[in-house]
Amino acid sequence: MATEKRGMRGKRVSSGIKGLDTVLSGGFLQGGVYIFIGPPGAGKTILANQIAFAHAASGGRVVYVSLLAESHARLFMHMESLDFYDESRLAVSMNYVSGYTTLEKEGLHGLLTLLRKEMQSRKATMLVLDGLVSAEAFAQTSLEVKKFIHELQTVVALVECTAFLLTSGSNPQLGAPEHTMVDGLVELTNDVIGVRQLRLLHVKKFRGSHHLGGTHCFDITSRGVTIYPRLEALVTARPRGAREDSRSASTGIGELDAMFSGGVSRACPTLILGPSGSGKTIVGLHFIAAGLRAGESCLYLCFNEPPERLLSKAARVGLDLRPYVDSGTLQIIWHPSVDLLADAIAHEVLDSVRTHSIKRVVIDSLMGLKDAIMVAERTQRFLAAFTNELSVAGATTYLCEETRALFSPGVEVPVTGVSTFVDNILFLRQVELDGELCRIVAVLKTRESPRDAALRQFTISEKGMVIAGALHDAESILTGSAHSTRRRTDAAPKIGHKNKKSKSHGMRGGGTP
Amino acid sequence: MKLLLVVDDEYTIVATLTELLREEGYDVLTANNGKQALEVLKTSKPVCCLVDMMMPLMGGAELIAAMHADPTLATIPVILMSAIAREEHLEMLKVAAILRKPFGVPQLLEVLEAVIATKRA
Repeated sequence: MATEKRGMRGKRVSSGIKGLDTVLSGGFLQGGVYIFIGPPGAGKTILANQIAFAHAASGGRVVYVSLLAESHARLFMHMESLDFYDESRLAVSMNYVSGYTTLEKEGLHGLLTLLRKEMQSRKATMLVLDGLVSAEAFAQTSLEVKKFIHELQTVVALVECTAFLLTSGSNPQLGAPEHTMVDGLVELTNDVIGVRQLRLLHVKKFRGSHHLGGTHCFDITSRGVTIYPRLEALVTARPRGAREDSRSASTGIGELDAMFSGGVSRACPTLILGPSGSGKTIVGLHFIAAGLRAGESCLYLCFNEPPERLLSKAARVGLDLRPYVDSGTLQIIWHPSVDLLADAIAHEVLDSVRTHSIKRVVIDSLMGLKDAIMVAERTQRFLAAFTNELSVAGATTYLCEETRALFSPGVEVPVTGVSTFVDNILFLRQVELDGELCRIVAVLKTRESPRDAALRQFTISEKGMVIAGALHDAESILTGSAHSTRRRTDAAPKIGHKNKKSKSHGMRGGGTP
Repeated sequence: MKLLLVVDDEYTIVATLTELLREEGYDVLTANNGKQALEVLKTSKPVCCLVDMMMPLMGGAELIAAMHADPTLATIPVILMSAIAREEHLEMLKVAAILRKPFGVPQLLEVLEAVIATKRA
């Protein structure tokens, strides 16, 4: 008993799956008995086999006992396409045996004896019992199931083995007595949201250790099961770090730096808001170019434009970013907006930021992320967690977000609760003024520095984004229906004329970084 | 009637092979693991044993080694039938043939007949 307690407290058995170990605060507890429950096709068998192969690869010995499950030949055939499958371990450190005949002839007691003998003779450190529901079918009462689980726990602890029991669900007549007995219960589900598939893992019970509650999405690819711990749960588990770098980060556009009183505060996320074609991506590219010029590693996450198009776009405004991509200083992650998992994207970006000490990140655009979040009520919390983690990792982030209307009397922010995930808001729009389309930029919000409240006109050319002086002779600009205040009283030059003149005074953000 | 011993822990395989082979005119004994097989072999001498690799209590490799160590069993040809059976097992385990699961009935019968014919010769 003392050995069992010591084992339960201290030793962990890694699942071999990074995300799952994170959810479990380090892995399963050695000597524990865990149930994987889920409907057919949820991924229980692949998950258990992946854990088993990882365990064998790390020097452990596995006994895999199936009851009324698919034949081993078929199981191996299906696993051949998965990266973790390693046939050389079979019949060496991994033994797949069937326990159904024993169960049929000798009942639960006979099955338990078989499991004990297999674990002992193979010196197993991991047991997988695939098809617990079949064992339950041989139990007349819930007490028999409880007894079987209790005895299995005792045996498993004695031989220092960690056990996983796979089941598609309990016999409704017996209830689920085993759920109260085991050390952990991991539920896998496979739902459809709209027309998209969403696989979720939920650790419903995990005795003796903290774990990340709630659901975590996962996918199954040729790499096997990849689990993406829910970002919000990670933030809760790890307190936000202090922002130690008090220097500002240049936006790459001199006049815009001035509007932010010297650039944006480091690690403070900035929302670039504006309709399609307003220049959000150009603002983001200038920001990245400024970082690269300063020797900082940068990352651009895009959903709409593939890397080649993005680089071409940058080149058209005088920003030659290709050498930085070639040298690895600039990473461009592109995910076409189809069937994405927001947590997968966030973990990919965060891993990259942490690994490569990336200082600047542009997310272009939030719409791609919001679509990947899938559950609308999660959006604000997810974005708060994501930007928080980026800030904690030392990255200063731009988030581009598209407003729906090109021209409208109101200024809409298509995400609720922006204050929870951004510190600054930069607003871009096109307005009609005296029969001409003008581009306008304004800093709507800053959190850690004073801001320039003026509205400024800007142009985008082969020299990049050029911001002119403040507009003093027009009003209602943010409504999209600007009009010149001079025009009503005299024949003052139009804004457009003024701007042509002021271009020479504007700050150029372009040029080769 | 030619007597065969089918040794496999998966009951569906044992049941199906038994039925198929009986339809082909063979007499079939069964065992679910190596230990059971050795018990059967104490009283019966089949013309061929079809043996799975991974089984509880005693696996195929251990069973075959035990048969080779026993002069009364050493001459019984063994066909290794397993999802992980490989060419090298022919030499390594000194078996007469291998059948990699999943296999079809024609392949099974062809290999079986060839092994029995070789033994006779």
